[in-house]
Amino acid sequence: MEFKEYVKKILAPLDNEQEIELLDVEPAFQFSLEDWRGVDE
Amino acid sequence: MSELLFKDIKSLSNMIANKEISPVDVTKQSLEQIKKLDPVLNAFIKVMSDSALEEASILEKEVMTGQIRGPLHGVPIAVKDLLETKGVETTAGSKVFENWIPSDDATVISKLKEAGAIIIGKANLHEFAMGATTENATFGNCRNPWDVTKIPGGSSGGSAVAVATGMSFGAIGTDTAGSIRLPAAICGITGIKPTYGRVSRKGCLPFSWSLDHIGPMTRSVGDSALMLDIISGYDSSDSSSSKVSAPVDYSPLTSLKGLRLGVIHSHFFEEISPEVEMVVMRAISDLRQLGAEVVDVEVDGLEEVLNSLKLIAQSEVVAFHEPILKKYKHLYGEDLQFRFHFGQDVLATNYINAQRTRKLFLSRFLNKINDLNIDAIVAPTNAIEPFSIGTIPPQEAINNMFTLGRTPFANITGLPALTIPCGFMPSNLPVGLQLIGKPFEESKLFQIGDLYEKTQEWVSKLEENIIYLKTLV
Repeated sequence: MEFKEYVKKILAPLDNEQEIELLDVEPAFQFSLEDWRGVDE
Repeated sequence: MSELLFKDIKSLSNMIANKEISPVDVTKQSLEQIKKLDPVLNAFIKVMSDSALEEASILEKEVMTGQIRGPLHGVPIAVKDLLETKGVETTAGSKVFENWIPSDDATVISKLKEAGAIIIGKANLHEFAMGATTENATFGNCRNPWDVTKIPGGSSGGSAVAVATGMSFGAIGTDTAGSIRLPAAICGITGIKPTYGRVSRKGCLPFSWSLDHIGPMTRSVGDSALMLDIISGYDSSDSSSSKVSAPVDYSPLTSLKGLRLGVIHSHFFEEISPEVEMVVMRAISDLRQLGAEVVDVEVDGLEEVLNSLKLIAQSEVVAFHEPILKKYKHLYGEDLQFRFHFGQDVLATNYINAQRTRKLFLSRFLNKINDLNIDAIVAPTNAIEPFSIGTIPPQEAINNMFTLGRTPFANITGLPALTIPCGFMPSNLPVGLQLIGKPFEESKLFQIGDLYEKTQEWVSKLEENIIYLKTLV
């Protein structure tokens, strides 16, 4: 079972499905070391 | 004690390819070792005996027809029970997930299987990876094989214990503030937290998105390099995955001449036990003897950036768990509840400023070590003797990693950090030496670590000193 599906199952009935949809989504505010690499090159 | 179980992966792999030993025999010996040791050590939440033997049988047939999938063909590997395994329970060390059976493998697990690894079991961990002790109320406390009354470190404690005691030839851990390196150091093995973005986290339950890393835990530097090479690489299904191409490939060195190592005394050498400091300083002196130039480095803003880590980790973990907490708070450990409480009080502005502080610090730090031509920072991994099991109050959980180790720096900066055994405290408990490198320069850390390891003959026979193993002979 997918992670989100499992959480939906254990939390049923759901008050707020949107909250569960978010579980698989990483925030846009990401930390990246690629900029440094770019400078180096 | 079976010598076979303590072979390095490359040697075992060659033996399998040359048909000197079969994957089934190796797997049976690993399972026998688990059966003998794990009732006390509790390194595993689930031992995958049946599937491991089935897979070993398939891999054995492939060997007989000359098919070798990769450098892990027939090698038993343990994986922290935070990573999804298709058709096998993935508990995250928590009662909340004890019945979850994922429908897919995490990317790291797929890569291991493609390289021929046999997944021998799901390793014990601190609940949701949120702690440094691997005391686990649901699945049992994991114990330190050097002194079974002590913690093995955490959160990847089970992975470290499995590798140290020959229950597996390598393991996968995760590291948000030191959870690979601290237990590796405490249990006397090697472990690397790679550069942020090098290893895909798809299929690994998050603790803190901007601090989480996955990496190997092994008994030698060469094995860590081998495993890291297998699990590295861009993955479009992980938004933090890096496209930088930096193969893990190193030629062994015979001298460290021309390399410059930095020592940061503030933070890294503050509030550590004098016994640990003595061992680490001796190791640094050994590195100097091998030709490295060692220089002191002063770094501003360390305290602020490390406080940022606490704010970021606690905010991100609450954001993820919030919907589950509403219904199942009572199923989470008391120590986790204290941590959630802290995270719930962090203001959004504080979180954003913590991320800004981190970015500014990293830029200044990299400029500084570039200006000084520093190849790597050398530091202790573990700072004090590990706690006795059951002695730390739950409200201390948030501070334990900072008390026990000097590992969080590499998470807040995202820099690669390798730990290797470098000696013992007077109580016969291992000490780890940490090498922190520049982004994507893991190979350089492996070169330094590999040469150091080769000059320390006792490292390859470390298991002979493990007290719990001695009691069973």
